[in-house]
Amino acid sequence: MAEVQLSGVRKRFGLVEALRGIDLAIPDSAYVCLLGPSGCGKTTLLRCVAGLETVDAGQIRIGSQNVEALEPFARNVGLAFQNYALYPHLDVRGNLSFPLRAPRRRTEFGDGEIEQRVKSIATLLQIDALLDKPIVALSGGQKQRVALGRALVRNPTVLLLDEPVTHLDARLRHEMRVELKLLQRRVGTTTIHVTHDQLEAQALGDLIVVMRDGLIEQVGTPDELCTRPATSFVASFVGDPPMSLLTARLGQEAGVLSLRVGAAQLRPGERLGRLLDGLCDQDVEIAVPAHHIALGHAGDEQTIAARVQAHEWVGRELQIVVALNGSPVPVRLRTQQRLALRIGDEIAIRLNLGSAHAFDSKTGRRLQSSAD
Amino acid sequence: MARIEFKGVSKTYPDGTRAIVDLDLVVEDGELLCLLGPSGCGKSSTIRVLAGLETFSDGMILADNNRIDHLPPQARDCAMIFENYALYPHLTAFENIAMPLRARRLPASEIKARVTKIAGILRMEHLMGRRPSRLSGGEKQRVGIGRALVREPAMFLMDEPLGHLEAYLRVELRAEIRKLQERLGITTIYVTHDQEEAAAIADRIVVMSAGRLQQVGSFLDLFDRPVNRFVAEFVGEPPMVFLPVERTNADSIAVKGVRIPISEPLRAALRATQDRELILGIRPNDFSLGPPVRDHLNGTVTLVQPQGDHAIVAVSTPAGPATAIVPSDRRPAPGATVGLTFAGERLHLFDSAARALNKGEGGG
Amino acid sequence: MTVGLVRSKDLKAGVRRSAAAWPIGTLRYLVAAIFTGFCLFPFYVIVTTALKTETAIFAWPPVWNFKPTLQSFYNALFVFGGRSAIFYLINSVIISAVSTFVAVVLGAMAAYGFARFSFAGKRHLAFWILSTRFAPPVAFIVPIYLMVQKAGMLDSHIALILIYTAMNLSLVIWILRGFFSEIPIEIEEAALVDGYSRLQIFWRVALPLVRPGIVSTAILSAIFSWNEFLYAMVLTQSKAATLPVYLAGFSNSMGLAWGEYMAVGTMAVLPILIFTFALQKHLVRGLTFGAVK
Repeated sequence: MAEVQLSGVRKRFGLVEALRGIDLAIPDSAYVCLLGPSGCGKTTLLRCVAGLETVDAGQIRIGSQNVEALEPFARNVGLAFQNYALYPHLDVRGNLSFPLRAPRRRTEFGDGEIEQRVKSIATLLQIDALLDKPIVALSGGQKQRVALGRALVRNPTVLLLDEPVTHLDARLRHEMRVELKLLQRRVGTTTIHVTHDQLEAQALGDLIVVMRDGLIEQVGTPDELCTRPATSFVASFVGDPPMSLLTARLGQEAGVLSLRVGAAQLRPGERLGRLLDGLCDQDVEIAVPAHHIALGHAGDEQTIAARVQAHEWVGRELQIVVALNGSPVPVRLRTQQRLALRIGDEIAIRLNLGSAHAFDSKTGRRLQSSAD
Repeated sequence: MARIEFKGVSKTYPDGTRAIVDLDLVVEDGELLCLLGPSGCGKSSTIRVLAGLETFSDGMILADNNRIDHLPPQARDCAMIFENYALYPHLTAFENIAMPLRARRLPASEIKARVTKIAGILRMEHLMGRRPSRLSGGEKQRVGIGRALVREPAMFLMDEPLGHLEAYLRVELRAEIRKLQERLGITTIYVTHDQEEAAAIADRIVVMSAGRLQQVGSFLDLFDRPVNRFVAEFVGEPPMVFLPVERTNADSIAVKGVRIPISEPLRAALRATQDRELILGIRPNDFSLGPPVRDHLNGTVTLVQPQGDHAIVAVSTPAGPATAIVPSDRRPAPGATVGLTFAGERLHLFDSAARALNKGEGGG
Repeated sequence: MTVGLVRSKDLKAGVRRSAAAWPIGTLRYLVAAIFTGFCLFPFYVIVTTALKTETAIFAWPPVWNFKPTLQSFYNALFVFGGRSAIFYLINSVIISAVSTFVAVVLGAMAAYGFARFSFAGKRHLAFWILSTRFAPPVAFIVPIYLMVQKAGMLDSHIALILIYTAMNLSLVIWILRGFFSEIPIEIEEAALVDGYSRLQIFWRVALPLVRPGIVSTAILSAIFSWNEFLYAMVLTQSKAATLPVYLAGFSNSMGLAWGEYMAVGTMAVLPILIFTFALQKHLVRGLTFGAVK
């Protein structure tokens, strides 16, 4: 168990700069999720920590040791891959004991201890009944458990998980998610988990690191990301469903601020008005949480005309994705109303800007008032 | 366009496995029907039998009241989309889509016009010159859909078409399939094991298990009025919570000695049965968590998973594990002791044969 | 009643369909059987001739029903003058086995390098290796003869082993390279993190996973070395001569002893046949199946 510290980590593949200076401190025993779209550098970062990629610049510390120059095995990390990467020519027992039988560790573990460790990790992951099964005979969830077991059997200082549940069915994914978190609580190993699924990151992460284009956008707890997203990118990425991002032009008529979104005029309200102070005649980005968007009646105040792009049931709620006039960004909302919608229908949505977030349209950074 | 009817269709494999057991099902003209179930439940066999790719043992299949089960596959006028795309790797996207038309020896000009139109509908004009190896998974499946679409079939059969794709692409493409289907109004049967996908896309859902049809209905029907425990458990994420109950009276129940208030229809159903091994089913949405109360169902929070404005809370209770969905601002801390209450009118009771007591009523 | 009627109709339809299918199925088998017979016929002639007495061999019309005898085998092995067939058989086994083993071991390591590492000129090097097979072997026979002669290795096992190894290497490298690149890189990375060195990963993870490739290239290499005639003929006289050389000289020195000739031919086929059958069960496809996803 140890904290992990990254400072100024850079990595370039040919012309592509995958990591452009990463500074990150991960506390001991924390469960950290690296979250971002594909190509954001999250997997590269994980591979740099594992030692599968060498860094071009910067430092990686695990505990009190600088590891960026060390070979993977000397870093004592456990790694579980997205595609499991089990050894297909070995059975479950062979896979679990493989790390312990590495020639470099020959003196470290006796046969008795290897057997005992394999047993205990298999019991922990509830795969003790499968020890003599070949890998081909396992289901996806079982394979994932074996992969986790193989990563944990050496008691690594840091556990690295690369999209560990992505390949599983929805139901199994949710189950494994719970298991992962409980397992990590039990063993207490500092864990870095790479995912592109923001709900998975929120469910699991003590801390979430949102990445984009090789840079960190924000580091925060799940609550911090939702209540205080640092950038419009973060805002558009979090929430269930994610917040909707509108581009609006701030205007002022007779001392009253108004936001023009397409053809509609919205009043920003007092709190948002304060944030937007001094940005008249400029474009701003507004992020509205889904539960602050409702169905409305055309012509009412704070409503915008929209066209239905998709509608689907999520539990008892109907999730509707609409497009605003002239805006490519979808707006998502949920309603308990039983509607018979068809794609392409015209509806009106009412926006409650009371807890909306505002962002500078050029930098994408969050606008904050001094009191905020 | 077609209205499809299965009448007593059964399929038994030579080894005795019963893939489909006495299936009676009507697929209305122009609807999008999902066949939902775990692997091996017979859902794929059902559409393969309909397409004529497999034979069946008993029963008949009608399209618009005409029997079609004796026809060879190519005469049934259905287009099928497979999970693994099944594109011709040596042909461009354009040629792949044109293939079914070439098979019918249509003139080149008409083929070009129809393929171009389909490419436009699926917004993939720019991909037409590419071979499958240069297409992404999502693009490949779009070409697959285009190829199925181009002959304007009477029905569309999709066998887990999005199974190979990444999660975000699945969400994107299923909206696209729904849109296309609404626009063209072709009767569509969509096979999936993912209840979320079924909920997102279907007009009606058929839940199957072990070759048998369990329930047909809208997603809300299945969600709020499941006919048995299988449907109740399979539909909805996180899954329904099941707790064993004791009968304290002819029409009242208790969980670990704590009396559970239930709705009048449920009481009536309870009075009508002597069964003593009952299971209570509660949707995670129908729990509320409060401070623990004496003589109440209390539990310890084992895990809290924030999900934006709500959180999934796992609670360990004396009656068993439970999952509750609560608003974010009211979520408890892990390790806390909480009291569980549930909305009495939304409870489900299952008898010892796993059938719902309040079939077709109760619930939402 | 209607239901019953429908079902009996159904049944008839089913019968009709399968009735329409039978002549085509039978025809297919017939064609396949004729072709198989056509392919196996020469082998049949070799084996039966070896088992016939001399009178039976020259009988016309051919005798189909005869009493098999091992006399020709006995003659070939023990009676005929000069060295016995066993001597050449052993030469062939030594040369084929050693050259196959060396080619597969060296080739597997080279193939792994090509599949997993990037280095300057990789593509050119790979192409150059394949290009060694472009020219007909006969084109090189004179320079190679001179080289072997200067090295004092004429009529030696080592000369043929070196040449066969060189000829088989390109084949082994090109086939195994494909097998190695199909192993998901993550499996090897997992072993790297687990504390294994590159070489240990090669032996303990990669090699077991390409077993089908190893087996098929070993079979192909062995067959090539076993049957190669041209170089063996030119570079050996007696001490290191292989079975094909012996067979070629057979008819000249002994006249036309057909029975003995075919007996040696049968013996020449058997070892490679046994070798192939023994390894066949390792030729399972998709060994890596189930490793990922």
